[in-house]
Amino acid sequence: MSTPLNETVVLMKDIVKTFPGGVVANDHITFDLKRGEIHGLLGENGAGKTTLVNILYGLYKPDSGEIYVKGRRVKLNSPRDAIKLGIGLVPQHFKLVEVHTVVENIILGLKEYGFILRIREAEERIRELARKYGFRIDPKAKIWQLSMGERQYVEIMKALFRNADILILDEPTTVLTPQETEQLFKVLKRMKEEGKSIIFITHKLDEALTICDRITVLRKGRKIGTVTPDKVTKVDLARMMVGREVLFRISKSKMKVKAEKPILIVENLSVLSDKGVLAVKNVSFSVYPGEILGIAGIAGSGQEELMEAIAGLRKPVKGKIIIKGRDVTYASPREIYELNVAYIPEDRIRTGSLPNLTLWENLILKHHRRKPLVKHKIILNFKEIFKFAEKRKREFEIVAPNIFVPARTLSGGNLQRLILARELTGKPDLILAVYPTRGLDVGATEYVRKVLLRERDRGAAIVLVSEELDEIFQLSDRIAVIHNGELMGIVPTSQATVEEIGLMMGGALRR
Amino acid sequence: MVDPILINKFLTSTLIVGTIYLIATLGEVVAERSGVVNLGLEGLMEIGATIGIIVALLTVNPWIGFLAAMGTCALVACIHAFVTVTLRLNQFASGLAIYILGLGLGVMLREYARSVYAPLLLKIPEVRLYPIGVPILKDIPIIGALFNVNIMVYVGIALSIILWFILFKTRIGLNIRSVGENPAAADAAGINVFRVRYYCVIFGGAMAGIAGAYLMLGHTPQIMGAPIVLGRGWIAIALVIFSFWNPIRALFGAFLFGGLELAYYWLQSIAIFRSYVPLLIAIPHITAIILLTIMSIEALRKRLGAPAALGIPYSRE
Ligand SMILES: Nc1ncnc2c1ncn2[C@@H]1O[C@H](COP(=O)(O)OP(=O)(O)O)[C@@H](O)[C@H]1O
Ligand SMILES: [Mg+2]
Repeated sequence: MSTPLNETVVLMKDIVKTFPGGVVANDHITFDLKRGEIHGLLGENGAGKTTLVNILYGLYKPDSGEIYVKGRRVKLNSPRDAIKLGIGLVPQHFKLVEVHTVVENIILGLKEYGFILRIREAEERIRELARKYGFRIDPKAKIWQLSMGERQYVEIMKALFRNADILILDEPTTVLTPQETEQLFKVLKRMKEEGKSIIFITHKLDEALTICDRITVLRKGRKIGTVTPDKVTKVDLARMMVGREVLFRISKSKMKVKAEKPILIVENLSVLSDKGVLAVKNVSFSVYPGEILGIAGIAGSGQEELMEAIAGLRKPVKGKIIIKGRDVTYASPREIYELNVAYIPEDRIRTGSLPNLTLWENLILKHHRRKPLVKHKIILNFKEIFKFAEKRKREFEIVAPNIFVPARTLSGGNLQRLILARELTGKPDLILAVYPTRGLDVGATEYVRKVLLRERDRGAAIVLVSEELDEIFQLSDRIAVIHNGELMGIVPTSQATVEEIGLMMGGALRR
Repeated sequence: MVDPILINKFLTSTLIVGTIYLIATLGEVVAERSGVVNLGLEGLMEIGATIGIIVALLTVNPWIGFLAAMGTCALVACIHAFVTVTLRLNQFASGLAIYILGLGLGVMLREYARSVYAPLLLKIPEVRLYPIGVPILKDIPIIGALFNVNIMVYVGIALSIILWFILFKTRIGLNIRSVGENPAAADAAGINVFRVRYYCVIFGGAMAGIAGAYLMLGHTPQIMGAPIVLGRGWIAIALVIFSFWNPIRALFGAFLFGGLELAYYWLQSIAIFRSYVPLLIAIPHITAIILLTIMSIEALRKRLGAPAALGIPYSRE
């Protein structure tokens, strides 16, 4: 506590980082952190936030630029150097050994607990620290048994055990329920009062405005500016972040189609995860034409497995799936899509496309068995195919030099447009969309949301899985909440509140 | 009724032969716990056998033979570490290269030694390890076998207990296990992933060297220009899976396979078993093939508790 408040504890000057492949992730970024402040780093996906803090944590080496910590010029060759300077990082994707216990993870790399590890002593200190900050954590639990929120506490404790007074949190709230987020904010404020300095990374404007003392906005690797929350509005921040005006509301019409027969019925469905444990437990719901059923839940609650089961990619262990009146519980993916079902998978690159094949090849997948794309059942009709592909490319505004480039050369947003173009061909009756906007920039996100609403208005039944509550509320007609594989309830969006959905996501409320 | 003396003799030999497997397996357990598999074990043992016997004969001291074998194989293992950890190339390919290199080098050097140092063969009785044979105790039925073995058997058993303790109760063990499970986590916690992997691979190599030298000095001393390890290195790799990457459990696997290897010599002398002997000879190898197949199926490997990062090179960017 020798240094006074307001003193600059971190100064990163003119940082440049280019990745192999030529992406300039950080382009002359200058960033400073003062003692006892929470400094927000705001930017869209791919803006370079993670890269910048990884440089500060010694994980990446900058091409050029200077770093000063507590007044001294430093060279950071590895996280060990950063740890010695009192820097702690809670990474975006947790770096924990899942099969080890909480204690083992926390004391990993520390010398204080002896050569023959004094586990008891460490457990005691963990309990003490947990009590102080109001974490609820069993030091003996294995990481894989913990929720994402609890894992985050373990990461924070790891930093505290290393006596970090500069704490970096990389998009900490994406894995939390609204209530857990609030709890985290309390902890951060408490740490700030103790004189710790915090870098808080987010892409959510409201969060940045709520918790930060200053906000630095990054866009496409460049620093746009540093502002204080009292001097800017949400709209200002959005403009800085995206580079143009952003629509905050997409208007949604009232449900037009009223049908009494559901397109999709799921009955008492149970599905195993890759690890062989029950990921979906006895879930039942139905979806009607012209409606979007949003499935809310923190990532890894069983949504992915549920959707894979409906798409025919994962065999259920119990229950029934009925699409348009046909029992398809054990049907193959092909039988299912021939019922005119579209599937927009979570993993665009591995499941959603064939990265090394061309645009046109990717676009005709699934349709390549039908006339007029094939002649005599097996021979590709290139004239028709190219016409088809060009038309799709235009309709869905896929930005690419031509239809002959490999799909892997597309950016995330364009790849998603390609997948939409393919899946929505033939006016599907049922659309399964899994995290359709994850990792996309604001423009592409808007586009995808609009397309989904358009399909709904046309009369398609849509199941939408998302971890962004904004998106769920904006698009869904009804919201189903999943927690730990169980359906906590289904609420019409008009009657739902964020608080209530949050509690259900955390397993504290059932409706 | 089977003669109790015969049983003791069988158990004694089992312990002696099983120790070859044990030492090699323990080294590989440590290497794999850090995330690096070394398929070159068989070749390293071949080198260890050659260096071990030649140096022991030249110095007329088995222990210097062991040290030389250890050092040489540690050096060769450095190549594997460099290729897989620093250059991040395929561990299986590198391991197979080490296997071929070791096999060729070991056999060739032995052939050379035979032509140059032939008279040294007379010194074999002076360098080979003899059973200690504690009087009285060694005559107790069954457990007496434990008191009639050479000193390396005790070393092997002690090592498995010590390594278990180190892996599961100490800081270094936690570092090794974390590096093998999630190198990114270990790196973020300030551990030098590369250094840990180098040490573990080199340790595994040194142990393979000891195992090879022991095969010569404790089991079948000779200088012959033909392979001598005869698949034991491959079986040791399979035993790592069999023991679920646990040094204590490696004890059971090693001695079980030691016993199997002996069983056919013994059963050969019993007429009704004679025609089944080829089947028995095949058992360890068939088991090894099954275990190695299991190992190559990722999902199965995970379920068995293999280190999650086994076979995967680590890099930050
Ligand atoms: N290891 C890497 N190799 C190549 N490119 C990378 C790597 N990590 C990030 N990038 C690229 O750098 C840019 C910035 O990424 P990142 O720092 O992760 O952004 P953010 O955290 O703001 O979402 C992106 O275009 C991303 O694709
Ligand atoms: Mg990031």
